[in-house]
This record gives sequence, structure tokens and C-alpha cells, in this order.
Amino acid sequence: MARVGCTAGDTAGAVIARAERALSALPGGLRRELAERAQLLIIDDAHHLDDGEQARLWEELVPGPTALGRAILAGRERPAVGRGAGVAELGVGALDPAAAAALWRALGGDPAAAETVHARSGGSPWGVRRAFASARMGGDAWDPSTLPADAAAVALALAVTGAPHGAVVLAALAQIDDASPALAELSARHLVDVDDDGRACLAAPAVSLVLAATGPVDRAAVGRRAAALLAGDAAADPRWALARAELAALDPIDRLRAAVRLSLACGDEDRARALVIATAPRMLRRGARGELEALVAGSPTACTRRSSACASSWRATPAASPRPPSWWRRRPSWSSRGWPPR
Amino acid sequence: MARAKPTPPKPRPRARPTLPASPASARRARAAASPPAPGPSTDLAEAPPPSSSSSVRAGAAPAFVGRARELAELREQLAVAAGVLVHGPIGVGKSRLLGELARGSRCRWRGSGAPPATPPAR
Repeated sequence: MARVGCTAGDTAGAVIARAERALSALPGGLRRELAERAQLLIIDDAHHLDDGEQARLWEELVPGPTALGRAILAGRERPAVGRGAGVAELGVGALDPAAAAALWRALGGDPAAAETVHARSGGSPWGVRRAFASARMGGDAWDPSTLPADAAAVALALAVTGAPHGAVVLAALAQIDDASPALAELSARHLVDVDDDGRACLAAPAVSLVLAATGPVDRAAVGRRAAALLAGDAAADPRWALARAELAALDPIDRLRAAVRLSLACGDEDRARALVIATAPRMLRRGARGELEALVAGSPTACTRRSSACASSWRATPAASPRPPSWWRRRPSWSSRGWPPR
Repeated sequence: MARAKPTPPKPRPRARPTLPASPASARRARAAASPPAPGPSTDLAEAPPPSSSSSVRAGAAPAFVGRARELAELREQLAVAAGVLVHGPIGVGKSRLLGELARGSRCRWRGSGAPPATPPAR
């Protein structure tokens, strides 16, 4: 079983390479892996891929009706792939009143208010949780302007990086001594959940709220800190050292990809290019060619689909050009096909 | 003799849960979250405050409720289809649903062989 997420700017090749690594398959062997082995592969957030990339990805995921493996492609809109034999579809909609009431009661809400909450939340699970937090905390608990400074900084770090992180990393990104009280505050407001590894993840609907409440300078500052931390070249501060150690447990390709994307989003194109150049051989050795090509050839703004898909991308001015980014075009003798440059 | 300054009315303190550094402590912290502080009226202000015996575990996501039908349907589809397309708007719980599926599949699909045609009930 493997679960792989798509991010803004991804291509089918990048997701395939990621899935192969997650399943410990040989590079280029995803189709065979799913055809011959009873694996479950979940691809989430497919809305970050454009229609053509979704179709290309789906061809690899579903080798045929006799495949032993199973694949799930999930996204906000129905993935743009054809219906056919061996393909099923599940639309996930709002909770019905009974289900919303069950969630409300599970949260600890007064059963008498369940109907009202369902009507006002539209049956969205996060809406129910937001309503619960507001009833408990007073006001709109999700309003970023009402957050204490440390909690706001931690929420911003989570929103900018778009990934779950532990308290040590978040303290480094938010430049605070201890992120635990801030996480407790965010948790009490149902703005974050903590996964089994102790990493906090910001509620998806809250990401845009937090980003919208923050200026571009502050977003870029956090983005640069995160990129430096992910790339492992942050200043030798003990707090950063602990954070680096925590991040060292992550997949190095995932870390590099995040560092490059954050650098590009901050406008640090030279930095992004240097990162790619420095780590490309290692990426290739680990079978991450598809991801490397996506980094090289993708738009630096990392928005390949409609703007609604860019909710998690905080770049201010997404561009739709399929051309290689300017930072890459400066070196015309390089190409993703001829990597590494000779 | 210095005149004592009039002290402004203190807002009702809101006890802060502490140190959710680990999932377990985070759960305890959220469970210990305080009752609501007085604040401006909101859309849900008339909703009664939640009971103090909240079952929510701090930090961790609340219990997976309300999606049993979708989870069962997804499992049934995986038993017969090589691929399943899942879609829904932001915040509707797709990732949580897939997480629950993965959690169950991790044990069930260990080893070789096709996924079970009739998944055991959860």
C-alpha cells in the first residue's frame, strides 16, 4: 500500500516516479508492479495535474482489468480520464444531516444544535468542526486575525510549506522558542490535526484563509526559511539543527522538491537552479527522473491547472506558460533529456 | 500617596492546553480545552456550547464518523475495479476517507494475493 500526493506543478512523470519509489518498484516499473502484485496505490490531490497529465497518469495506474493491483485517483474535480471497463467512480459529497449530527456529537457538541450546525456548515466536515470550534472558543475561531502571534506564525508556516511538520520544525520556521503552545491553540480551534507521527497538518480550507491574511513579504520570509531548512543548509543555530534532524527522516527527494518549489515561489530562481544542479545526480540514482524533469521543465509558478487548483500555492502571480522557466532558459545548453549536463 | 489605578475588568481567562508535542499529549490537551470565552456574537452564537465531556482527542483528528457508506462503497469498488476515481470539493473529507481506507488496507493486504472480494466489516 502506498499513498502519494500531487503538488502544484507536478507532471504525470513526476507522480509516477514518486509512486514507484513509494512502492519500491523499479524505475519505469509501475505498470508492471500494479499488474502483477496486489498493491493498493492511492494518488491524492490529482487536481494539481492538468487534464493531459491526469490521462497519462491513469494509463499507468490501470494496466488492465486483470491487474492484481488497485489504484485510486482522487481530486477536487472528477479526474479527466475516460470511463471504461474496470473503472469505478465515487463522488464524495456533503454529509447528510444524520452524518453531520453524528460528527457534531462525536466532537462533543450539544445534540440539540446539530440541525442548525448542519444547515450552516453545508454538511462539510470541516464546516462542522469550524462551527464546533467557534461555539467553544467564541467568535470565529478560524479567523486568522484572532490568533495569538505564535499560533499565527505556526499556521503561516504550515500554510506556506503545505506539508505536515513537527513542533521542532515549526518552531524554527516560525522563529519561536516552542511551537507546542501554538499548536495546542490551533488544535483547540480545530485548525490543525496531528498525524500518527506527531506532525501537525493545517486544515485544507484554512490554508487560503491564513495565506490571504498574510502579506507577501512575510510569506516569502517563511518560504525562504523553509527552503533553507529543507535543503539542509540553514545556519548553524541549535534550534535549526534540531529541525534539520527532524527533517532528515523525510524522503530526500521530497525534501529537495519542496525546497526547489519554495525557492521558486519566493523568486529565488538562482537558488532553485543551484539546488537542482547539486542534487540531480542523487535524484537520478534514486529513480526520480520524472520528478527531476518536472522540476526542470515545469513552470516556476507551479500552477498548471485552473486557478482554483492553486489554493495551496501561494505564489502571487501564477503563469500558465508551458515554456521552461526563465531560470532554466538561461542555460540553453542544458536539457532534461541530456541530464546531467556535460 | 499614589492613587491606585482603576483596574480594568479582566477578561475571562482561557486556559490553554499545553504541549501537544506528541499525539497522545495533544489529545489530552484538546480534551482539556476550556469552555468558550465570551466573545462577539457569531452565526453560531445561539448554538449551545459543547458539553464539557468532549470526546475529541486533542491534536488528533476526531473519530471517523459519517462516512461509513462511502468507505464501504469504496471497498466494494476496489474488489471489482482496477481503478477508482474519487472526487469531491475541498474540505469534504476525501483525504480522510482515503486515510481510513489505507489504514485498513495496510493489514488486510499484507503479503500477496488479490484484495478480498468481501472486506471484513469495520
